[in-house]
Amino acid sequence: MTNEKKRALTGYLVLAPVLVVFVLLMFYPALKAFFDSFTNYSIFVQQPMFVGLQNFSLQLSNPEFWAIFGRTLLLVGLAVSLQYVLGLSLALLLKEDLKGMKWVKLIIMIPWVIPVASTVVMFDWMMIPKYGLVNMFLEKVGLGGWTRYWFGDPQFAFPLIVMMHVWRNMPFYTITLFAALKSIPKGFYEAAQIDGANTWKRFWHITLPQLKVPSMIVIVLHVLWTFNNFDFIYLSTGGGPVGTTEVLATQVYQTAWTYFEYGKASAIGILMMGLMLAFSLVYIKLVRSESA
Amino acid sequence: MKAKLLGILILSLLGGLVFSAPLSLWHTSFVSEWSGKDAVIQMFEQNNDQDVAGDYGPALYRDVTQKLIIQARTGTPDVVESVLEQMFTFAKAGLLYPLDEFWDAYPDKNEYAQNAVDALRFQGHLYGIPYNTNVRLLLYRKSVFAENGLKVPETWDELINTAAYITKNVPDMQGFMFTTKTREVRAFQEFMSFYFQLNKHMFNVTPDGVEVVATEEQLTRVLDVYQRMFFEGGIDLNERGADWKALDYGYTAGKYAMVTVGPWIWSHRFEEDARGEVLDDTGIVAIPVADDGTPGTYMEVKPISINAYTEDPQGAWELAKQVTSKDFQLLIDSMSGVLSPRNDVMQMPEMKDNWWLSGFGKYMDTGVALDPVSWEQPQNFIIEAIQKVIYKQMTPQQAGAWLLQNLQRIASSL
Repeated sequence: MTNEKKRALTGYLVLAPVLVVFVLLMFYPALKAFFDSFTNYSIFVQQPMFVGLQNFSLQLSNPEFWAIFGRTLLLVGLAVSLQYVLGLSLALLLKEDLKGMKWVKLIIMIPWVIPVASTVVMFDWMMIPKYGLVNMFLEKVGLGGWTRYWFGDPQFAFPLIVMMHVWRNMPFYTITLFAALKSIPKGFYEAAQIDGANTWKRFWHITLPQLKVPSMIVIVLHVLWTFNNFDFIYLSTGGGPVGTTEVLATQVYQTAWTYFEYGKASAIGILMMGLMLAFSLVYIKLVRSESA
Repeated sequence: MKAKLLGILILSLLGGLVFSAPLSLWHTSFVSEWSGKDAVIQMFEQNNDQDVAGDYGPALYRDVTQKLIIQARTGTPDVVESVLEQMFTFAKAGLLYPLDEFWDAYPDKNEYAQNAVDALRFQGHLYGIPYNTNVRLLLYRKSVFAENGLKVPETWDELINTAAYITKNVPDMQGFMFTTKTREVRAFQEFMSFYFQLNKHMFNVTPDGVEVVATEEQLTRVLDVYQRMFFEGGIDLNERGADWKALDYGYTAGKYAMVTVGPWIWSHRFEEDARGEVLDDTGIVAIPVADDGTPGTYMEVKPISINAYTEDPQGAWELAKQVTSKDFQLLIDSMSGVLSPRNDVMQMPEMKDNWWLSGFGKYMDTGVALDPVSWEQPQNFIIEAIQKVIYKQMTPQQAGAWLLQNLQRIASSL
């Protein structure tokens, strides 16, 4: 065996444990869900039968599915763009080494490390009528007429879900973009300054292009994460009130674990996977072609 | 060295064949955080003479459902505690062991309240031993009623009017509270507590299938209670969509004058003295009855069941008997403030002389158990219908018709 082959074999051997775990934990369930999506599989059906594309056509011809799909996209669009804008702003502030920023760097990751379930419980308790922190505060400052169960109000439930996403994920953007900002050579800015570029131009022509790759990574990650996120909504509003916070991920959960219709749930899951795969490929290709 | 390792391996394999695996028990009371957890585990472990694994399963019923469905076929757990709605789903999916033969030969069977045992039958077979039961009743603040010269409501109209009067005239006090959050099981149970006064069944289950026996008029009338309660001033509209936390903590914080709940709310007294004072000021009566209705309320029954795939049904039965024994039920039910389905337990001083438990015990015969179907889908439709009314998307009549239509559509799959 040549040295090159030996090295390749060693590489495969080192990778093998990870590949085995990947196949068992990721690939097999995805493949199983794919096959289940063409059946009437349910806990109440002893022998699942092949139903062709019925589960998919049922979903795609249901106006409720499209309403939920639209809401899911809105949630992803709002949450990810707010997280990015706020995360980048904070990263730029941190880079300026202003007084007190050392403390900001220390505490900024707290929302990120708190488990989602705890975050939701915390927000839910704050929004409870009569004695939730927010309502008590409103009463104290003479705005008693505004007190309400915020998660139970169709006008406020969805914005609150967006807010929870932003609150939790913004630190991740900040730290990632801050690290990327630190790696931009100072010489770029000095040269631009000599050429007479103002702050805005330096930001637009140097900072943003240099952040393209890290931005792509955090955006793709969070689009996927928000699109598939289930626990924020399920634990806070359950998809209500009157369906105003229902998204595809909660729909999958409800179909699988409330109605026990695994075939239908798998079909929604496969549709979601297809959409996200398409998004990731197109987005990465766009960014790469621009960078090239 | 190699021979030694080989020997150990062979011995281990043989050991696995000779010694059977320990039995496993999933019981939320052994895992979830509550004041009686340590005492319950201690009593179980002291009296247990079987080999039982120390992992007592998930703490939440929702997780019990998912995990049992996924792993029941492995034979673990051998014994599982659940709630009635879950038990029907498990039984329908063929995951539970029919207990009829064991039960018929069980000397203690005559100690059990018949309605609690009957509630655990599915398609003619018994699938659980009841260990905990309760009914939802009307709890009211005695001092608020006395100070304002109010009569405790006995009809739906009186309930709605009294609630509106209190909200309007008693400072910092709301007359009544309903839970109405999406997927909140308590919202469903409250709805059923009113519905059972008009009809003791929602479905008729026969060997040929399931049919809806609820009528549009009955469903509309219950939904009308919700509309009137919210839009005639009994409940603040800004409290729509709230869940059990708002109700339980709101009542024990002295914010609501009346609620329809079960005895578990008693446990809040251990959190703060002030909550204990509210509970000491509480009167317990039947839920007001509809004009042409008969007394009836949602009855909860928690069963202990055996996994259909257990490798040791006899051992599992012995374990199930242990966690439903007289002493065990006395401890767990008295500490959690709920009723026992065993008459010999209810005769013990800890239960009989407890004003709270005897207050609930008086109305046990008005409890109606759910029909033996898989309730997850009807539950969601009922909550959706409530929300359509209180968020003004539909009138009670429209929501009643919508609900009936959906119940009829899914009946065959229940």
